[in-house]
Amino acid sequence: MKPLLILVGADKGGVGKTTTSRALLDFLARKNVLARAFDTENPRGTLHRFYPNITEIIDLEEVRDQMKVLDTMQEAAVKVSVVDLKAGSMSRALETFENIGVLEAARSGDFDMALFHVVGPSIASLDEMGEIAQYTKGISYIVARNFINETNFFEWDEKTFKKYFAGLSNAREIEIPKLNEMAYEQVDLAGVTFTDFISNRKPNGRDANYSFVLRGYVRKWISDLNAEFEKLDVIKALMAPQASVEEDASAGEDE
Amino acid sequence: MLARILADALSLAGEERLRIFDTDFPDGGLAGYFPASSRIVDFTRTGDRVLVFDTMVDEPDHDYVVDLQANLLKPFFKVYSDIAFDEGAAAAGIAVSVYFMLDRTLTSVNAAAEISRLAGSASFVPVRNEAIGNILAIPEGARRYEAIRKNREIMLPRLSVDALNLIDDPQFSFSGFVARNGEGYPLELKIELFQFLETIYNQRRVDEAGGPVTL
Repeated sequence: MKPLLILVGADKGGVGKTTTSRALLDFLARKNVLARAFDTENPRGTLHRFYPNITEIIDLEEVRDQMKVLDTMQEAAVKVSVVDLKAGSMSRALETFENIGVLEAARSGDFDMALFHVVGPSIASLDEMGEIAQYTKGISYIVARNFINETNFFEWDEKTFKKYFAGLSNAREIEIPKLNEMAYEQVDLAGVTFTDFISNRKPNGRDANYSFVLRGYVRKWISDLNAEFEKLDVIKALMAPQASVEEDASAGEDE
Repeated sequence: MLARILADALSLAGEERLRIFDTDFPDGGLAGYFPASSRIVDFTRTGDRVLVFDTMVDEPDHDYVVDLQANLLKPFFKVYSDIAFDEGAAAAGIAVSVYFMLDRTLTSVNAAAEISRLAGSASFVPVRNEAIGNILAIPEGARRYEAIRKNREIMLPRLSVDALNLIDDPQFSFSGFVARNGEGYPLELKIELFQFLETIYNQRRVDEAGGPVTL
């Protein structure tokens, strides 16, 4: 399997970027795809709080930390690397990756690369799409419209969005559906993954006592989100070997 | 009316066993008749939604009546369906019955079909009220009604104005009326109310799921 580097970023803060990274890591774990994560929110590391065992906090401005991500991709046993880019750093990170040849290596097929660009309902978010277009050629570019913490998303002019989106020929679009605020807060307070919250488990694996209703909201949200992720080619490709392993396993059982 | 009759019947098993969630926020409707057992909830708030569903799952040793305002039917069952309440209820040993009050319009029977779908495995009982007309009089209505009726339905008989005025009194209870054999009421009203209750209960007994939760 070719290594896959997934960047999750946004230049505008507060659009739900880390939530998207969490949702993506949760999705991969549910699909039994091993992943490692890099949290560039240095030194705090929100993503690290939820996935301490697979997440490393790094400073992407530091060459040493760039090496941790990029120089280890081919050798690492875990082939999927998710980098959560801190708010406001996406353009800078892409520029750096372009300058040091990372994007070119991805375009040449040394590894697969996907950028999840999380956008909110503002024109600023839309402008970002145009600004980074120069970097997204030859890689999987996914515009994730995040409804999760936006109550006024529907006020966004669809025509304007489509106009911006149409200019990006290689872009795919997904929607991160809205999650009930109280459910979101409770998962946050619990400090667990979405999957563990649904399964009523504490961070230490012990039984928890989370609300049945809030778990239900999260379960529904996760189910909707699965459908969004699964329609992406980059995810389908990731699932393909997985599916064949599952098929082999079930064939073995049949025998 | 039906919610009140059901709550009244359930209260016979002990008032402390009965719990009512009245969604007629903030004043309450059903709660006025069962103040000790009722909680008025604002179902537009997540906190109250959590309260309603979590209480039922966490404390299944009670009989629950959730009296839903018409405008909350869809939001309620949307949540019900989204959180897979029927699965949680089944795991907690709770049987759910949904009593849906129809009027005589196609809109109403269409809404009933939608709620029946969202209610999943719950027992769905359409309820017609003789006093507000008959959906079966419209051929299309009758056809759609048959599709949702399955094997359960309730028809509420029409009551006289005197009877309605009598039962409107918060002090009046159907169970008390039956327990005292209608003593102290004019003979005509007594006969009417007994017939009314008998008609309803005879219908309820048909294929009654008999679980601890009644919606």
